[in-house]
Amino acid sequence: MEKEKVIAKLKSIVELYVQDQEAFNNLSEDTDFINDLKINSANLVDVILDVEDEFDIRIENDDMEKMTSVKAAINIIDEKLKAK
Amino acid sequence: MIGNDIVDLARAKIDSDWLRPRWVNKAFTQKEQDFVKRSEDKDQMVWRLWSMKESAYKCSVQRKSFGRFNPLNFECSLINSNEGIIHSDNLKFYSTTYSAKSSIYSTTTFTRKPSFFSRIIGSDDSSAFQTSKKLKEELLIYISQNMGYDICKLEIKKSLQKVPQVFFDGRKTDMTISLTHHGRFSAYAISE
Repeated sequence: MEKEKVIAKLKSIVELYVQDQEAFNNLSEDTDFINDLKINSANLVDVILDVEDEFDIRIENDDMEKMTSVKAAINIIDEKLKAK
Repeated sequence: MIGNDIVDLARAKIDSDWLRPRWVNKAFTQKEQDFVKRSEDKDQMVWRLWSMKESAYKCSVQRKSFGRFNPLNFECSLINSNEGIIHSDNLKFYSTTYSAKSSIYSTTTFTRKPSFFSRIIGSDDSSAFQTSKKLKEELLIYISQNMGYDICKLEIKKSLQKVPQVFFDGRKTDMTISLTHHGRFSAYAISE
């Protein structure tokens, strides 16, 4: 899947939980989910589940730990899609 | 060192559907899932366990730099209806949880008899940004009034590991603090 498509899908997933609209509008690969988008920690699990459902992949907790930024999320999603 | 975490139960009900398939598997170990199954009020138990983990994580990053939060890496045990223990790698934390109808609040430290001050602040329908700003202001007022610092020279900044720290006159102090907000509630805690 092209990177742009992955980013577009990611954006629509996190939009629900974002508490900083400006950071969301300026979303780039370096955007951090918690510190920039201000997604509440209580929603982390929800985001991961939404990503799993959207891309039809499974993310283990070790990977979950690394998924802190858009760039990291793209890498993990890519890795899981290739492994299918 | 101190960590805290607050959950607005009404907000959690809207945002997080913990009954969703795989949610509990990602958040809780088998032992913790059993606690939930056996509880009369499962909502309360879910958010109590979650706030224990999150506050333990915040406490742990003050001692050493961790990777991002992996919920399964923090396992909760319950001592009684308020007190609990959290294990993570070779670290042990002690927590106290206040459960109310509208919110759940946990504070966690490394010692069983901790010494800290904590306060919960209810907010009106402000943005997360405003709530966060107000929370920091309230904490700085407390520090200024109780520890005699000139409030104009106090500042809260986050370290590289995103841990909030108190600076006085541009220099980092030894104070350890923890901040949390969710929905209508926010809270600060400061070690004494």
